Amino acid sequence: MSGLEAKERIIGQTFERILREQMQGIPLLNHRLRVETLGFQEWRGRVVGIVITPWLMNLVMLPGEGDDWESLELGDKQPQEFPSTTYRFMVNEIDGIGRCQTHSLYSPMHEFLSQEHALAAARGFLDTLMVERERSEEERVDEALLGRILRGEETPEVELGAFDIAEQEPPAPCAVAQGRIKARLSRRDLLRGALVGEV
Amino acid sequence: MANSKTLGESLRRHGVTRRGFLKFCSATASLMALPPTMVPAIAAALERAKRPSVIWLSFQECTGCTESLTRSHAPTVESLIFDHVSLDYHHTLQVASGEAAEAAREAAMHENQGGYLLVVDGSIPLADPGYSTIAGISNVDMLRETAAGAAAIIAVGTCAAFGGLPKADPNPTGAVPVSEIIRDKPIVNVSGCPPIPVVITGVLAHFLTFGALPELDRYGRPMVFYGQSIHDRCYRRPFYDKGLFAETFDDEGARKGWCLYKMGCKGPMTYNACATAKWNNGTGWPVEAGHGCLGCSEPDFWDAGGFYNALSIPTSDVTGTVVTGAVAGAALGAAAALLNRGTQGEAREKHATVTVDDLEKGV
Repeated sequence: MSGLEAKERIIGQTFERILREQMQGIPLLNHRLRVETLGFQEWRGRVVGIVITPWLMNLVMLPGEGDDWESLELGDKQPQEFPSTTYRFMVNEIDGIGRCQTHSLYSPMHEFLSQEHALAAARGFLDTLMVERERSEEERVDEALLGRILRGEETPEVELGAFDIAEQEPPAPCAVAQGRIKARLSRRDLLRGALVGEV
Repeated sequence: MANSKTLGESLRRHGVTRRGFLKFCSATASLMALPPTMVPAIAAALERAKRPSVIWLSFQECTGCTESLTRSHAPTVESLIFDHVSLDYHHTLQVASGEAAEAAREAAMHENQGGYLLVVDGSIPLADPGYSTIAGISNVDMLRETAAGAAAIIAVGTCAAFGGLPKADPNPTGAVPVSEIIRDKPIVNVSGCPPIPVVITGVLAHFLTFGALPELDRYGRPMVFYGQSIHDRCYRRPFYDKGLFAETFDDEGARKGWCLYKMGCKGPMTYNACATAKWNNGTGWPVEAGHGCLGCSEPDFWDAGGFYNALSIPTSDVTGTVVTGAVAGAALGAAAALLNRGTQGEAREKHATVTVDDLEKGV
């Protein structure tokens, strides 16, 4: 058995134990499902794969050599880059597995009608996880940053000089007001200043 | 009048600092998943945006939504934006009373026909319109009349969004949400009991900048705030994963910060941004304070079987399950693949449709 297979097996056995010892009687369980692991592979020196259980479907990542995850706070979110996109993983620690990072794909699992149904969803996810995709400048909302701004803990570094643009008089007559720009305004155009008539 | 001044002029007149304004623009950019390089463009858009006229109607409600908004500590993004919209009518906050108040509402409607924003909190009784009236006008009549000339409607709080507490079984007043009465206007549901103040202002900021409403989920709620469950955002989530639950409020598990699901936490079924935006000046949120989520931003949360009972089926997902069942065979692969593309594609699609014309007519 390869190291990879051994790790996958330990993860499966650990969640089977959790199901047996911790989860009995939990009304959130989907009894049509059982513990199953799939898609375990190496990614940038770390082992990553999917675990399906009656209460969750997680992407699980194990630390690679040289990773020190002990110092990370339990429950903290860490960005992990994949060819398709960046996923935010939560720092986790599970008896039998140790420190790991998990990304929730589904929880609770009530929408799955059968094990095959859940497996198909997992396979569909894995099919696209490692597919290179063009990254645009538009990334998903950085919720942590938004939270810090809203709570006044952080002001993003923006040159105050940038504010002068806002204070300039609009080009007269304002192209926007004159309705000269009829094309749909994309976010990219907006970025380039279409909104203020500078394109 | 409301439209004679731009937001920028109003801000300057009120001595809002560049830094304060920039902070607001930064939050707006972040809210819309735009890079910091966008901040000047947003500043420019907001500078020139006309102060929108806002009419706020309160029906069967407890004023908790207004409390939530006005108690947010100053100087915040919330107060900044709310000081600078033209709040032309609001039962609780307006100075005028009686006929003068109603005259103000009618004047604002008339002068900003087709352009004002209508904010509604509270549900509307249909069993007998007489259950709730304002100046002798029933809630349903006032809503229809005021919605007719609105550019968009923001249903603030779970009562206006889903019926809320007045609609709780046996719903004695026949309470319904705004969306069951108004069908021909864009409606954003900002649910929560009360809702997070910054979500309300975030929707306003989006409208002011892009002249359009933000991307919404299937319940009409802004995706940026309601796109993820409390459960998926929860810092106690690792304990759920491995089956460690607090059983009572003072047991070892509670002291160690284990998952609160067994004590009735509705986090797995509830979509809101409490963990991100937090409450009470950012000091914490219910789960962080050691109490389970009540699920207050979900439809019919009051009838979800008791705040301290662990639920087996998510209340809001029952129909979803049926639909999934019907299409399961065919749509499996597609649905799963969608997971990866996720929010980015949807956001891109949303913003690609914003036109200059929309921006102009929006305010």
